[in-house]
This record gives sequence, structure tokens and C-alpha cells, in this order.
Amino acid sequence: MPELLDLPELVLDHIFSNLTYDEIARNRAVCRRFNEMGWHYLNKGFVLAEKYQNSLLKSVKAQLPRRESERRKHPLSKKCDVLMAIETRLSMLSMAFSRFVESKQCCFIPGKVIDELFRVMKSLDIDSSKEPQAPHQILQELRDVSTMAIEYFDEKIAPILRKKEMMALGNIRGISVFDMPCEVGTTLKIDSGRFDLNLGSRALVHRQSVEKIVKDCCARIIKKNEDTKSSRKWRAGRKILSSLTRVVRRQERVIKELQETVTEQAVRLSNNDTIINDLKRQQDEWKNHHSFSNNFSDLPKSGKSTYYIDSESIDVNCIVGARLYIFRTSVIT
Amino acid sequence: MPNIKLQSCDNEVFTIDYEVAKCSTTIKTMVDDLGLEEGDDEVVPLPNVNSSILRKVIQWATYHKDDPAVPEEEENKEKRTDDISSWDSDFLKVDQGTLFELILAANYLDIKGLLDVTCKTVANMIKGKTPEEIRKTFNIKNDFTPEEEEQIRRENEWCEDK
Repeated sequence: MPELLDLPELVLDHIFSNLTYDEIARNRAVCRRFNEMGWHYLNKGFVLAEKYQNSLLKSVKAQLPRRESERRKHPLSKKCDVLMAIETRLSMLSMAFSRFVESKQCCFIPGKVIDELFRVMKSLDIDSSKEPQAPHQILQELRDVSTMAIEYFDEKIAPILRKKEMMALGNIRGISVFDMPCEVGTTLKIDSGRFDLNLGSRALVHRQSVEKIVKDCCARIIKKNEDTKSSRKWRAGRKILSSLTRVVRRQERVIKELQETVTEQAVRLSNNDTIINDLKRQQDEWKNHHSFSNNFSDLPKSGKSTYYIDSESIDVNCIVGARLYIFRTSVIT
Repeated sequence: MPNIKLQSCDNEVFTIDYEVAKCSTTIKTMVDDLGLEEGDDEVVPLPNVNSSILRKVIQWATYHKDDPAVPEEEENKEKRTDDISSWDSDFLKVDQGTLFELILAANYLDIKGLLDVTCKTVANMIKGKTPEEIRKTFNIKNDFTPEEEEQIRRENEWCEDK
């Protein structure tokens, strides 16, 4: 018994042509075959919509008088306005999607927009004799869905596609430069990226990994070194790698310098601590002595002994003062 | 009434009115090219169609033999699948395998009307279903990687939450 996917391409095409573009877009998620066909259908649908708009506008313009003043009064002028508005929409959509569609990174995703484009244009096409509705009424839904689709695509989908594109480019470069499997190219790229971001201790690790890659590259490339093409690639590869190694070395030097500064400052800090402690002790001593000598001066004066104590206290004061002075100056310096 | 003999792939011979057979462009071309005339006892072999399907095709063609010619496909035609006549929809109440065989036969015999109506029937089976339901209906395997599936889901998300 045949199954749906056993049917020939032409027949599946015929089946799909009975679905709306919105349905086709949603059904891309069924399987690869559905995705491929939907992809093709959606891209074709957008082109058809552009063509349809073009032919409609042409036929309407042909019926309009040539003079601007007469044209404005003509019953078909409204229709012409709507078609011009559709043209603007189409070019906005094309701006958002065409770059990615052309490079086959995605298809024209919003099937619903194509459906709406056709609905509006058909309504214009069919009742050409009747006066169409006000342009903003006809175009309301089209404006809404197309804006939604473009905004969503620009915000959510395009960045991912760009990122993928960059990565793919990186891989291709990796291969063309080194003529090697792309994993090595990618690792190299990622590592070099980290060099820029991380200044810290990882540099050493990376350096080792880079050196390993350099060795790998050399070993592999030497094997293929017979023809000049690969030797040219080899030279280019080596150039890049040696520049990377230079970056690592430079960063190592920076780290070393920083570490030296840190140890130096730690020593200075501990010195300062001891100085401060000494200072405190001396200050306490001095205070005690001061109160002591005050007590003595309060005592009744009795000849020699008083004098002796006084001279002693003066001596101590002198020493404390001198020391204080020395410590202060040393702290300041 | 001039008759024509058609032979299915399992060697059954059907004698039918030429007017009925003519709705198949393939048979019409064959008859024209071979220069068959009334009274000839020539049998037209149809190696791609079995007898049970050929019988159904003849049944359909007999009913529709007086239909006006189907107009040429227009590029911007309206997509309608709700215009299947009740006779056709009764006629096509068959299992999926038979339906697909009818499609293949209509495609091979180049019977536009039958191809249209069978394809519309399949399209109606697809309509209004989630991808998972479609897979179940047609016994299709999901052959995406999780990343690919996620990417498509994300791409289609723009009109989901309304």
C-alpha cells in the first residue's frame, strides 16, 4: 500500500496547492520532506504575490488618466492607492527576509502574510467595478500581520541566523587556512576569542592548548607540504598562530607585573600595621605617664625628692615625644 | 457505441465506452497515436493500474463523463477544498491506501478531474491538524533533530500567541 510520502513530487505539489500558505508554514514541522516542500512553496508564494501586485498595478495605472489632477478624481484612484500601499508592504517584507532567503538560511516564514496579501489583492481584482472600501480598512489586517512578522523575525530569528552564518564562516576560514578538519579551526577561533575576554590565570592553560594546536597543525601540514598551495596555507596558519602566542606571552607578562605589585603592597601593609601598633602602645604609655606626673605635681612640695621625680618625668616625656615624632615621619613617608 | 478494451496490470480486461475512457488524456493520446478505430480488437495495456483500482476509476469516469472540461489552472486561483460534490465525497470514502492508489492512477492516466478531487480530499485530511496529528494520520516519522524542530517551532512562533 502506498503512503503519502511515496507519492510523486508533482502529486504532493498538487495536494499542497490546496492548502493555505499559513497551513503550509505550520506543517513544515511535520518532517523534512514537508519542510522542504513548504520552504519551496512559501518562497514561491511571496514571488507570486509580488508578481500579482505588479500586474494589478500595471492594469490599474493603464486605466487611469495621465494627468495628475484628473487622476485624483478618478474612481480607480483609491484602488491605485491600496496597491501602492501593498507595494510598500512587499518591499518592507522583502527587506527583512530576502537576504536570508537568498542565502538559503531560511524561507519566507510568514505564510499567513502571503495569504493576506492574496486575499486583499483578490478582493481588489474581483470587484473592480465596485468602489472599494476605505484603504485603511482593507489594509488593516495586512499591516498588522506583516508588521508582526517582520518585528518578530528581526528580533528573534535574524540574530540566530547571523550567528550561525558567522560560525559557518569561521569554520570555512579554518579549513581554507589550515586545510584541516574544521574542529581544529573552531577550537582555535574559540581560544583566540577567550584571549580577548579573559586576562586572568587561564592564559597559561590557553597557551598550552594553543601550543598543542600549533604542534598538531605543523605535524598535519608538514605531511601535506609537498605542493606550494598548502605550504602557503601553512605559512599563513603559522603567522596567525605565532601572533596568538605573542598575545599570550604579553598577557603573561602583565599578570606577572600585577602579581609583583600585589606582593609589594602586602609587605607595605604589614609594615604599616606594626608601625600603627607601636604608635598606639607609645601613645598609651605616654598618656599613663602624663596622668602619673600630674598626680605628682598635686602632691605637697617637699625639697629634693620632688625635684628628682620631676626631672625623671621630663626625661621620659622627652623620649616619648622624640619617638612619636620619628614614627610620624616614617608613617608619612 | 464504440468500445475500447483496457487491460489492468493483473491482466483483467475491461470493455468500456470510448467516451468514458477519453477523460484519461493518457488513453486518449494512446488511441490517437495508435490510430485505433471502431471495430479494432486492440487491447490497451495499463501496466501501472491494478483491476480493483481500474474498476473504481472507470466508475468515477462513467459518472463524470458529461462534465465540462476543467478550466486551465490559474496561478492566483482561490484555494478551495470545500467544493467536493457529495457523490465524489461518498465515492472517496475509502481507506488511505486505496485513496493514494487512486491518486497514482489518476496521475498516470492523466485524469485531471479525479486528480483534483483526490488531492483535495488529502488536503482536507491535512487541514486543521497539528503536525503531530498529521504524522499520526499519515504514519510519517518525525526525522528532524531536536535542534531543527526547535528552530522551525521558533520561526513559526510569531503568530502563535494572539
